[in-house]
Amino acid sequence: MEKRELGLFEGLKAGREECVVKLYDHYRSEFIHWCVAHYNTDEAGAADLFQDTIIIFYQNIRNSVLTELSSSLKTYLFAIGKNLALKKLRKETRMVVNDEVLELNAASINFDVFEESDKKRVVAKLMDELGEPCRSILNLFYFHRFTMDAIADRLGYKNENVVKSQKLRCFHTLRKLALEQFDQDDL
Amino acid sequence: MENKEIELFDAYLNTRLSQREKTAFEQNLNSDTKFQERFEEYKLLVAGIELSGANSLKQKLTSHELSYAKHVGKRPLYYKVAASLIFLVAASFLVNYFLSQKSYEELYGDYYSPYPNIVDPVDRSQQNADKSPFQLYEEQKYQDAITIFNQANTTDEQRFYLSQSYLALGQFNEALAEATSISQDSRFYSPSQWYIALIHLSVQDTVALQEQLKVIISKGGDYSKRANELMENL
Repeated sequence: MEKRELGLFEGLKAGREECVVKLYDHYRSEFIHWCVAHYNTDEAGAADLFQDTIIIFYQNIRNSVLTELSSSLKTYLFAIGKNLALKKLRKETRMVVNDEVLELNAASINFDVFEESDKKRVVAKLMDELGEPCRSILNLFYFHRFTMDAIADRLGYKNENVVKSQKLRCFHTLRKLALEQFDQDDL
Repeated sequence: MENKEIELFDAYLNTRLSQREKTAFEQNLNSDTKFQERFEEYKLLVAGIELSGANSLKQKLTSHELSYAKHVGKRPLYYKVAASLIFLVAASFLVNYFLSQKSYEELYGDYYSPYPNIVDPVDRSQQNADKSPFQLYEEQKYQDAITIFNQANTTDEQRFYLSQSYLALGQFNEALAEATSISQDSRFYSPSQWYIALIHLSVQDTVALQEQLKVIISKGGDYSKRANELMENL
């Protein structure tokens, strides 16, 4: 892996958001051209796929599915992108597209984050209604996978124990709201 | 769901359990359905939080993507170069197109020249009174030539030069009538066909002009090249 890629990968591992944007800028043009040429989509559709690709890649790094890369960063991105593009094609054309075996160990990548279910959508919507600081704490802990220490640092708490108890309170609140909503929606 | 249990689930999720703790946790999942249900509920809440996090990041990237559309100036240099080239090619094509679009009048000016007198060239020592109509034609005394030709216009060469004289004076109908009377076996037939085309051009009879040019082109010969060129310029 070249130095620039290594720097980006380390930045993503550290959860630095500016590295997500750098990653986006660095591979965007190449990805979009490739995607438009191979997967029957326009520039806007390709950009949309690229955004999902970046998010899945980031999330897999942050939740330690990807701790090190066996191949170039670009190869990972294009393997994830290919998988997403084929899924989209299958959905749109309602045709059986042969499952293509992904190169590398991209098969071990977790694509679940955008797999929506009614209950997941309810919880995600409740997150918006939860307000601060709960929203930020839960987001930083469960999506970005920061440690309590790092969250305390970012949000200006005295120490990690304060955040820990706050986070537990937030989790209980979200759970209570979710169960009520499931009941109401008959889910 | 107890606080302790949430923290245990967190530790399992973040792979912070030791191998022994992990095995115990998984055994518990398999044997205790209540514990399994609570873990499923926990996983669902986490999945919802993750979806919310992914959606916010997606929003950020979507607004970032907009900056690509807004700031065209940020596009790589080759976009600009390509765009400029396309513009230049299109512009020069249009300019050329309009510049090359000549009026029929201009085209006639380009193509028309009186047919040379090949019948009876002027002899400089000759007296005016003895001059033949061909010679008068050569000296651009068209009206005089016409007068004499009209007294005796029996041959193809006389009719051809009479037609030429009318044409030179801009009397197109008369010129056309004489030109169309030339017989096919005359050596003036081919040139007369060309001049018929020029007459149609001068009176801007497009349909007849194109028909006439097609006839000339189909026959090949000296005039077909010119006819082709004229056709392309129309």
